[in-house]
Amino acid sequence: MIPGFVTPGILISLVVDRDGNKFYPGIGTAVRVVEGSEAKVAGKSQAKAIVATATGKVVLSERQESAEHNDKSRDTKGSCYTVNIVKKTKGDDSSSTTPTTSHVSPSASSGLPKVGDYILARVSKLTSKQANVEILVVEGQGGVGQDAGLGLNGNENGIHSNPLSNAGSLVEGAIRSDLGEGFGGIIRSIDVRATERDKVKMELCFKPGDIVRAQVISLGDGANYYLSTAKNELGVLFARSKIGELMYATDWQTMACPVTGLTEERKCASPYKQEVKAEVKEEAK
Amino acid sequence: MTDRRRVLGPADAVPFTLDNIKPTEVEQKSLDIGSIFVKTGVVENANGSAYLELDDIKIVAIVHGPRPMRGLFTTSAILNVDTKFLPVSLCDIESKSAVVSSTQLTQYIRSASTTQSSSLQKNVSSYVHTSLLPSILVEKYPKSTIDVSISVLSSSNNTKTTVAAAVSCAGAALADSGLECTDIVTAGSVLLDENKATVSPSRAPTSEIDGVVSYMAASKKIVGMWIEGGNVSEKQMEEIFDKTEEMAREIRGVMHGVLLEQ
Repeated sequence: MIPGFVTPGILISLVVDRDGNKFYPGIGTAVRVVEGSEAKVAGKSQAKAIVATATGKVVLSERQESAEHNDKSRDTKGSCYTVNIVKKTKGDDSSSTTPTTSHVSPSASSGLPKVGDYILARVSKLTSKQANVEILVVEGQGGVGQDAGLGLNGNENGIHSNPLSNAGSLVEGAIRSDLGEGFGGIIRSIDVRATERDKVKMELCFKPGDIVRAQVISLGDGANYYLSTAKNELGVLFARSKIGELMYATDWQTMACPVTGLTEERKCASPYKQEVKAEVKEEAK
Repeated sequence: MTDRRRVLGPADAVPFTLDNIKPTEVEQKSLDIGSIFVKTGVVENANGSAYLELDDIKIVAIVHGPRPMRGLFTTSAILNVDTKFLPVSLCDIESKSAVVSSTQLTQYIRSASTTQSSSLQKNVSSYVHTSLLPSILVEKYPKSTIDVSISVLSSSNNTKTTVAAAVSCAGAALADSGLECTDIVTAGSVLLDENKATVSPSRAPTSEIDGVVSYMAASKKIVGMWIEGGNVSEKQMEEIFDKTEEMAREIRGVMHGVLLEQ
């Protein structure tokens, strides 16, 4: 019996249940060894089980590939699921005892960046050697470091709800990033682009206040994560021109102001790369 | 904009008047541990918070984190616990009725808060820290701190019961914060007489044994204990564990309901 809603510590299911279904820990869950009556179902004195580490709704998403893999190696009739815990929404009936089945990737709440993660950050300081940024969002996970002043449970009235929203308000954006109270990051000049890495001029790649998409290459030191923009899809996403208008990218190193028509140099992120990839994948299917 | 370097008052704070007190739904359970009320998410500008009432005890716990930590690199989060006994919480009922004028009361509070509270606050903080740490998956939060601040608004005459309530309240606030925890930590307190064990005692011990034990109730683990009052025999120890676990489970049950309801 898989519960519909859980709090930390509640057992969700054994890793392999009675019907041969396999479960993998996803977001908000962990594997723990259980003993006694809980393990008896598996016919052993000890068994591995999936337990909740967060409060919320249990969402099962089917794993296709691993099911096939298992069929080859072992004769299992059950299916494979990844167990995720999703924050409860208003319409949910917490008395429900059945888990939700969904293929939508759930968004965790307080995840910190890991090596390899894509993040969105705001440039706070620029030197000829490196750009200091403040990490705002981990892609697929939500905001980072909106702690004091805005909790995960907080009502966002009067406080910045969306960290990217003040890309629209120049002054507030400047103040927030200048505080430097969030999780910081550094883009070194050699990590800005993949080619001609020694000839990078930082002031022609970023400006303070720009919103940058970057990848985490190291947890770095105590103060900063080390980031890289050395991929086509990484670089400046949003930037403001001299007169404060949002600019659009015309090529990989130029952005243009829609009002004055003047261009400025940036290391632009190609917004198309991912979509092209997705289309190719779909065609292949 | 809020100043993120220090913990300010709640963003939604309103001046205290008697008009804006509205009766809320009360999660009340009649047990031998007394009546308990738990509400989570009481402070808006915190990651997690909880308010707990257990008989006379009133406690607020607030969790901030993960917060970026400057300085040395750490692979896992560092937990900080800070406990404050509000000066008024240290006056017991008898002495409150004994003092007549407000200046007398102020004097009493001042002396109480300087002598008892500082060491008590430290002890409670370190006990809550010990109890909570095993439940948090600190390795998921490198380079950050998790700050728990506990305010005791009103305490019981029995310190151990107050401590048990503080642990349970902090456990609820952690669960509310969304930080990954393996379990919700709850605690139980007991006072052992010659022949009788009182769960969740409300009187101060004279020469008896009294103690508080913290549990991760769902994973059946003891995460902290604080027992005082002389030599404890094996049988007495078992009695302490039985009674405190029962109380911790009871509170854990209430928390489960409260967390899923909100």
